[in-house]
Amino acid sequence: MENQTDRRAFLKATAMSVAAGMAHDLSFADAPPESATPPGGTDLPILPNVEWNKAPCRFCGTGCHVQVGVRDGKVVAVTGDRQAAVNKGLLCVKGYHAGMILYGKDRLTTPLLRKDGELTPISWEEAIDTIARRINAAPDRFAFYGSGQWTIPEGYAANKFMKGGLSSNMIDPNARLCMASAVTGYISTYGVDEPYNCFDDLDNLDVLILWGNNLAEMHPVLFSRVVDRRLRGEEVTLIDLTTRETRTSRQADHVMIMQPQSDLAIANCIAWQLLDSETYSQEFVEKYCNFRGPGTPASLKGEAISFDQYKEAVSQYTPEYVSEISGLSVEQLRLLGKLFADRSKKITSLWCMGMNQHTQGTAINNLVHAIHLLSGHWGNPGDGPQSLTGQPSACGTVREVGTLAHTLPGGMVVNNPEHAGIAEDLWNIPAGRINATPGYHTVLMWEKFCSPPDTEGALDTMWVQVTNPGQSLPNLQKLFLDKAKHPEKFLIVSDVYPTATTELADLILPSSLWVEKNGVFGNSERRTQQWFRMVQPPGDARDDCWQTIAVAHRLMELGHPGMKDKDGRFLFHQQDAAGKELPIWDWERYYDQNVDERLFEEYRQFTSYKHKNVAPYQELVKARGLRWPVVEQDDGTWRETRYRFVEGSDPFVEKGKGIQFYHSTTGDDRAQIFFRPYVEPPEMPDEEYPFWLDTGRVIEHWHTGTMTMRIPQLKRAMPSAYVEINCDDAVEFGIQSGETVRLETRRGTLELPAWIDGRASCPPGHLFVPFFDETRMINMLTLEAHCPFSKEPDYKKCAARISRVKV
Amino acid sequence: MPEHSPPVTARRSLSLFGAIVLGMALVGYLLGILKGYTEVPVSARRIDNSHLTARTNVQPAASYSAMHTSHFSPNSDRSSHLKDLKYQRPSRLDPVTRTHVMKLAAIADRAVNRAFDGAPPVIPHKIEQQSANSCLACHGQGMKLGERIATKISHPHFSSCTQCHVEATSSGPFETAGETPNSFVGLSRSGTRAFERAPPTIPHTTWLRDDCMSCHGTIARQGLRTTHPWFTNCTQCHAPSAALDQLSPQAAAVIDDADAALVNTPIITPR
Repeated sequence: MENQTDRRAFLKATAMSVAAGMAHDLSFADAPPESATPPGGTDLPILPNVEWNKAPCRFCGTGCHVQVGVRDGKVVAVTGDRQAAVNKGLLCVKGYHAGMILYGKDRLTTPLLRKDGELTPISWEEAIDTIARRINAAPDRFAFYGSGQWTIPEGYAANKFMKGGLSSNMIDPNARLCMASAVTGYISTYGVDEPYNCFDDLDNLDVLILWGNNLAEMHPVLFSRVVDRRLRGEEVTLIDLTTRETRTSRQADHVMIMQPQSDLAIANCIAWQLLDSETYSQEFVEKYCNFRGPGTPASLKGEAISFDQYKEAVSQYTPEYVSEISGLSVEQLRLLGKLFADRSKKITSLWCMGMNQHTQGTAINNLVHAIHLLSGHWGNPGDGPQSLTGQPSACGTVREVGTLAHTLPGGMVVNNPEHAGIAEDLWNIPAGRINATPGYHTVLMWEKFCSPPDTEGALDTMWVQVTNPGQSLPNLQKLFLDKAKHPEKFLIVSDVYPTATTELADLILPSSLWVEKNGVFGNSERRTQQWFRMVQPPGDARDDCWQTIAVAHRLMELGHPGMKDKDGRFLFHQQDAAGKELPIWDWERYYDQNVDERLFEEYRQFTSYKHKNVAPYQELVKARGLRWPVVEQDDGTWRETRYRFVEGSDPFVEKGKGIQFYHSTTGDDRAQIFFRPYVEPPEMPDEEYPFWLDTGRVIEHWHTGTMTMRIPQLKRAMPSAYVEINCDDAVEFGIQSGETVRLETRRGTLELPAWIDGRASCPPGHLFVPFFDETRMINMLTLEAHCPFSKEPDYKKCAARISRVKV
Repeated sequence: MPEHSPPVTARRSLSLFGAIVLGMALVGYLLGILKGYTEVPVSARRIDNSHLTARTNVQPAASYSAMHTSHFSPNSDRSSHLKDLKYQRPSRLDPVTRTHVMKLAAIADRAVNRAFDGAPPVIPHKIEQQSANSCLACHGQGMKLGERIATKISHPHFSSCTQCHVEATSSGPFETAGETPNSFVGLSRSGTRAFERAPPTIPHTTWLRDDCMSCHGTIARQGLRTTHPWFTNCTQCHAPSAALDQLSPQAAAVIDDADAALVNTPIITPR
């Protein structure tokens, strides 16, 4: 051993001296004398002693892990985490630049109260007191609007404050606008929410079908995880079912341009072909599935139907008929049918906003699950349907913590007395404290906040955390800007930068952002991810979670009975080992202990009831995220679950069952194969408004751009919203690229530059506008019509017209 | 009158017809040229699609007269002269001149396109928006045209280029971004040497930088080029850092390196 070391050392030394000699001889001998200062100067900052730590990326639901480099209390670099299973060391352009979101010059650093129309700096004490007094005066007229960017402890605290403290269900998150249809799809199909599968599918699939999902720009890391397999010589077939040709289409083997809303008919057509040619999986269906129709009137869970009734229902969706509705050729539809009939290929379906932001969102989610179940393309790695989320913790904080207007933590609901009882016990609050009536969903909540105070059920005070509804709500005039008509309405906004929402805010609270606080996110594949605070927030900015706890404590001081538990202790009571109460409402003392860990461990107790067991906090500290259910093994280790309901992977499946849907809505361990009919969208192009208008995102910017538009590299790459228009249409209207055009719908007007065959290409009669640009807000034009079950609005289709603006 | 001899009037009208055709062609040509020189705004010229009826992704061709000013391609703003357009690939054996000033200049030039050391560089030219594959036309093997260098892709097994690289300035037909005030200061590093004249250690991660020749080869910024391109086994003398490469902390620990402070510790204690 010693010998070997010596030999290595000798070789190293020899190599070094030889190389050094060569370097000397070859490089420096002929060098001209040095004089001029190089362009850019010689004083680039050299920053050694960087401390690196893990965190999930701040942006989308993929949940890439990053390594954040910190020096002297500032983030100086971000790199992909090579130990992370999700991204394996890769990031997208937003992720690499995520560190810069902390350092925009206009960070909010002090609480601001609007006095006589002017935003005036005030103390935190005054801010917290103002909120508590507003709520105390009329708790029923107060609502909390949160987000899938809330960390799990933040969302948990807000949820407990509302449902366990104020006995109010007036809490809903922006995820209602984003993945509510996926939730209702999972619940009605499997009896319990969230994907059963995971991103491992991407490494195993043979065929990827994207249902209205521009994966290359929206989930770029997942996209390259699939397409990079081709560079390794693997065969991957990519089918892009889309309404416009995008960067994703350029990599696809089959680009199928469909008419908006016709996804319903296409899915039914696949089912028809499987039945007609008897290529469906008889074995899978007989063992694991029931059939279900929409019911009369149509309902979320529908009604049981027989196989024959199911066959009858889909019988009209022949390729010829669906070809007329969808614009796909009969050959393309038959290709899809044959694909699902072929059991030798593993097929993964992915979707995100295309299927979720849909007035028939629940229906199309049901149908995509249905064709996978019917064909038996379900359960094996690479073979199954999986929804994606757009926010970092839409799954973790909204679906698992239950911050929707009708849910409780752990997948439970307010209107189930047994669930309410469990929550009341765990929260140690009196029985009956939890209100059994669901609160308003997002669209209704904002409608009630923007209506006159004497309207029935009107809301007076709204607290917004970690989201920007002033830009992201549909039909902004009606659902947001009309607030300005009612001076007695009070809008509280916790945020990190001035936004379209703070424009109308009466009280602004400066918040900590990302690695300025402890946090836990839950990504799209049930992966719970933890990080620690690495840098201090700027100025007087403070954590959202602390803000909620501080308001709760002030309310208790003002005498609100709901802020105490059964034993008269503070609702968020935490104590040290000696039993002494920790003053977590005092910001100076907030980080004396890890409040996040304590809230997370409290929340963890809820997660076993629906078999969504999250891992202990300390296990998450060690891991790059763990996929629930996470169950302790005999040897004391904790094991995550890749595939739920599948024996061998899911610890809750009984031995010998193979596949067991243990939360089945029919109580027989079976999933539901739904029939839902094709229904026309509520607004379609007509003579007055002849175009389809679609909205969405671009790779550079994340949602409303409040963070990414402050990153110079990203803003320069994509500085402005635009309207994408087909070349023929542009010719007909005499519109040139770059020319400002006027876009109108029945709800609003917007002027913005036209871009022909730019980032993507629309078919004739279609327009597309991204929603990231706060100076050109397309949601002035969009429709608030929503899915009857998920209440998620449709941002993807409404009728519009376009005209030139002659200067 | 012999039957096979054409009448004079017929011949005359034939000549007249020919003259008219020639005249019209000449007038049309001149008008065409004149029209070509009409000053039209750049954006209008780029998308003057009015003669097109079928849907197409192809940029319309400019008239011959307008060709010298037309914008054809993403790189059309890189004006070049034919004499510069020789394919240039210096030989490995060509002598390399590199000074410390040139090296600093190259590092500074490199920093212009990056938010910090390790950030994916932004693209200093226009790109074809929809097809990432077009990147590899130049960056697949790297090329040098005049003074312009298209560096070879350093991670050929990841080629979804626009996932990480965006245009430095948008090529979209709209106003460019105004100020984006941001006080972020990015990491920047230099390598260390055990002693003067010792081969420097590799000061950056080799993750996504599989091919040293991308930045240090014959087609590279002069100041970053290796002075000895004929030695191809770079890591024989230049040590990478397990810490920077996020290998296991154990692997990093055995490397006596100034970068040991960068060890990828996964956990810090809560504060």
